[in-house]
Amino acid sequence: MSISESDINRVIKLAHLSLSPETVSRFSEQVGSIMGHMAVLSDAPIADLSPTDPNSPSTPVQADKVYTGFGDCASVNPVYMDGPYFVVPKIAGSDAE
Amino acid sequence: MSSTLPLSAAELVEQFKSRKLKVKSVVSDIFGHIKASEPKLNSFTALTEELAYQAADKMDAAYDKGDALPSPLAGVPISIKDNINIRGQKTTCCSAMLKDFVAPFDATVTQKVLAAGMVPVGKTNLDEFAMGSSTETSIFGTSRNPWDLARVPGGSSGGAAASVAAHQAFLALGSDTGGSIRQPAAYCGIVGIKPTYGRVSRFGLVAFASSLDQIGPLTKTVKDAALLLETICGHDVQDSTSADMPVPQFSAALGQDIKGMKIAIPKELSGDAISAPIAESLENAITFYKSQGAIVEWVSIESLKYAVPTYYIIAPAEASANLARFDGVRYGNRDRSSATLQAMIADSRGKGFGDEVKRRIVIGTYVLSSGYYDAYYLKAQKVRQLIKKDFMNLFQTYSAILMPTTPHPAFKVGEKINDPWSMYLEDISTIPANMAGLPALSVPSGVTNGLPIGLQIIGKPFDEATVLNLGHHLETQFNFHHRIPTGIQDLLK
Amino acid sequence: MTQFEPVIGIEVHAQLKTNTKLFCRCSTQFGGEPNAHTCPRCLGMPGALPVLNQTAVEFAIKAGLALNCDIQHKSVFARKNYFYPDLPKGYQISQFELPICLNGHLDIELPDGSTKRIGITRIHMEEDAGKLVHQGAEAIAGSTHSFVDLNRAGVPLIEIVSEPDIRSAEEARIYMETLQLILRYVGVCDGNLEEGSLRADANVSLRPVGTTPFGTRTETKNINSFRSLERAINSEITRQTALILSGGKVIQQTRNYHDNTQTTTVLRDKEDSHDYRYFPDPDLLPLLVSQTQIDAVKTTLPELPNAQRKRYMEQLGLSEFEAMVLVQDIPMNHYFTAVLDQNPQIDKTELAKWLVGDINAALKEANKGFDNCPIQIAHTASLLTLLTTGKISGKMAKAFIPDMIQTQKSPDDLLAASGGGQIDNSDDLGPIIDQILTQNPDVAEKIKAGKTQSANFLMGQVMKATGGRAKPDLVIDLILKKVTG
Repeated sequence: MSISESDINRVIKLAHLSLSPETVSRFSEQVGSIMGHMAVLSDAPIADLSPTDPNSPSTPVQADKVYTGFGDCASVNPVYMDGPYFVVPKIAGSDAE
Repeated sequence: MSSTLPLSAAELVEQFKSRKLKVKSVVSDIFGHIKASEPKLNSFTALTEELAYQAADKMDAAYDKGDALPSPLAGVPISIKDNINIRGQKTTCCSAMLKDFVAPFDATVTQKVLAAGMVPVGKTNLDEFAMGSSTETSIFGTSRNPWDLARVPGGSSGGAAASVAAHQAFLALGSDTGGSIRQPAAYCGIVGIKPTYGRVSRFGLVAFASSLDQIGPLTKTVKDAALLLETICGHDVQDSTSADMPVPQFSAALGQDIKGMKIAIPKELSGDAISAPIAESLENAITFYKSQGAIVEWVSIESLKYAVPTYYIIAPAEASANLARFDGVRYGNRDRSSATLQAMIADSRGKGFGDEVKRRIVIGTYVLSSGYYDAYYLKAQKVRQLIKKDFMNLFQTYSAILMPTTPHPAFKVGEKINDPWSMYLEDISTIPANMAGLPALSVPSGVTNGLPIGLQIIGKPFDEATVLNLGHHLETQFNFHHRIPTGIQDLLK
Repeated sequence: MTQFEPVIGIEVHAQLKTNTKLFCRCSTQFGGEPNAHTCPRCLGMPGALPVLNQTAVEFAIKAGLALNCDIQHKSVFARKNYFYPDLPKGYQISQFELPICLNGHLDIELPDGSTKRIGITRIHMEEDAGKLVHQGAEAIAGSTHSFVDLNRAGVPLIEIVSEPDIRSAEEARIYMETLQLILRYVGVCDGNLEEGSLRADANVSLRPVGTTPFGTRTETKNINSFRSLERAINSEITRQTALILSGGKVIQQTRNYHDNTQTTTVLRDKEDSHDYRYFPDPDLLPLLVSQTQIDAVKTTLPELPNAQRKRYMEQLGLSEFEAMVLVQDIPMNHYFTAVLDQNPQIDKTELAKWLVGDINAALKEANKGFDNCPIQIAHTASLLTLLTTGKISGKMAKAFIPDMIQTQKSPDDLLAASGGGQIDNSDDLGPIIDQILTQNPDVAEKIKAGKTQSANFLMGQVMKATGGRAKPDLVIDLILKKVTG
């Protein structure tokens, strides 16, 4: 099995990951070969199985009370801040939500 | 160098209690030994001397006054894997992405370990974001196996395992997503346990694959593992997947009679599937357990063959989302040359992540992407339930499952780095316990060509007590823990 | 020529009125220093994990019950993966395959008096994103860089998705207004469109009248008032109609509405729509809700607007107008109910009349409202009692109200200060009227000549002399009696 470079390019666009052309071509081969090993799963007897644990407990909930114990976390590792704001470069195209 | 460093944690505490040893002098010895041995081993990414001496003074005062001690491990030096937060210290995950990242809060385990009076000596090396089996993907370079410096210590908790094996720490905290505690423990000849999923809070552990990650101890003896596990277990409201289950005193169950206990050995991980010395070690263990009155039987777990492919779908899928927060906006590596937001994010990630991490992000994004989700991710989740079901069926009859921790002993640095799948296959016997969320212990079970090997005991959910007890019995056969690894014998007599 | 019928569905995002965020305990308070209401969880720091807010769950259930939904015993939080600087984790935690509410409906009242049922497909819970402040220009276009404020990141939202049952822009507006009122009623959302605590996206498609298959739809965003909802939909209907009639084809796309031009422009085509790679969030277990929990929330559900309006008219005897005003003005309604609760004997129609009329007007005049109303409930009650027992006139009551707002004095104190109650006997009023008549002989003559309206002028004089305390109908009676008598 192989995964085409265009597949890799589609995926790295989704993953917002810059890769060199050399890496794209290497990954296309490696990931393709890895995905080939997944074929064995098609034989697994899973017809009547659910993808989640039917016996899972409920997710816990917390009371609706303001907790401020973490202190100022925003500016501990500043990469690029202007006053209290994080700053990002110009947003290109129509990527807006 | 002092001969106290090869003691077990429990033995060390006896020395503290009798005041034959001061915490501070042990801490000073251990930093001396760390500094002498680091050029060979590279176990640590950073040392926490200031924190260590503060804790040491406090514990010496407590021992001097005969005060009530905060825990049975008070004053014991411990190393912490560099993907677990200590507030105010760097958490790098051995990635260029986080090489300067200072943790703004303590992990729950860190809080517990500090409250128990343990002495943090430093942060240990790992494969970048815990993705690997050798520490070779760390930006700080490979840690070395103390038994053979040309070999890897295993991974991803390779630095943690090396630090304990080389007596640079008495205890270590690691994390295990697909074997990252047990495999390096086996490669380095120490004890490592991955607790039941939900036993130990993940709050403050940098997530790799959230449904698989567990923090656990790497120690010299099973007793030490039991003591450390007792300290870090327990329900935590900060982690929604943390289990609200009572925590028994694991150390008290050690040495209990195993007569009549039923132990299963899966055929799939024996014979030709593993190397000869490991098969032999497994046979020895079977003979030993039978001699203790246990009933040992061969069984078949057919779904084991699906474990590695299933894991390499689910873990990268979760990782691809867990690592999406590293976008260069709020912290971490940021590419400042990019003109647009989109380029900034892609370049910050492209430069901040290493090859193995990128490969897994690509796999994970691929298996979740439109058109592939059902064929890969959804199917893998079902197979995961199948594996879980097969284990639970076995546990109707058996109290534990015994199998090798790894198919081979430690491999050489560089031997597998260019062949991802063969590297992934090294996890074949450790992955199933993560897939099923079960507690699993690796104990040293012998030496082959100067390299330690380990056996793994898997137990029922939340039955760490049985697993540890069986490990404790086996351990008495080898008494490995006082040994000085060959690679550093010149440093520690 | 083919006649087209619009098919419209509305997706509403409602911000839940909790004190803290959905997955951390940071304050949801609006405003505040940028990034002050953040913590490792809502900043997406490594090692941080989500913990669900109990009140948010209760509010989602409450909204579901008010909208006649089936509350799901098991729902699942998923990760919706996409990159944007206002989304700190690189994914939004949202419910996807298994939302908390399914299969509801909302009855809306159309202008012709008929009722129409709009289906609610689902309601799911999710976290809000942060805010971007673009620099160097008003919007993204032309900006040089952007500031990121994550105070809003993680604030709980519910998304309410309607069935495509709506057939006109007007119906859409009424649906939205009705929905807003219900969410406010049950107290789960402020319902403020301008501030964004309630946001609507409109899905619009056209089909030839009389046919059943749906046409290709577009989704219109950036709607921030009821008026712009109506205008956006109408503009989209016009655009699609023109497109189809000219032989073109509607393309599935997301469009942005611009209020200044009242038109929509394309935001993105379906081809570059995001591949969100939803999967269950492994940091959260499924949310299990028992019937007991649902029943407990049910007991906290207030009477809903339609039922209440009917009861006000049928049981309390309020006019349709007063009932409607009360139902739409929640603080006034609460005040009304509070006065009634504490004074069950009070004249309900009079109370409604005074609250809707003079008290409301005086509060507005004073820039105040019924929430934190400066008039104590007991004071309003005694005002009504004085009125209905004839101790004061309506005119006096009207005069008291601004004082009650400003000085917070009781009507009884105001009454005492004004020199006593209404003068309602001829013994006291007689001499005063005599004096006024003596001072105005010409007016008395006019009345005598049959111009009885002129008595009003004399009454004004009497009121002046009595500080407004004279009982008006008695004054008129006495004047006419004395002049003609």
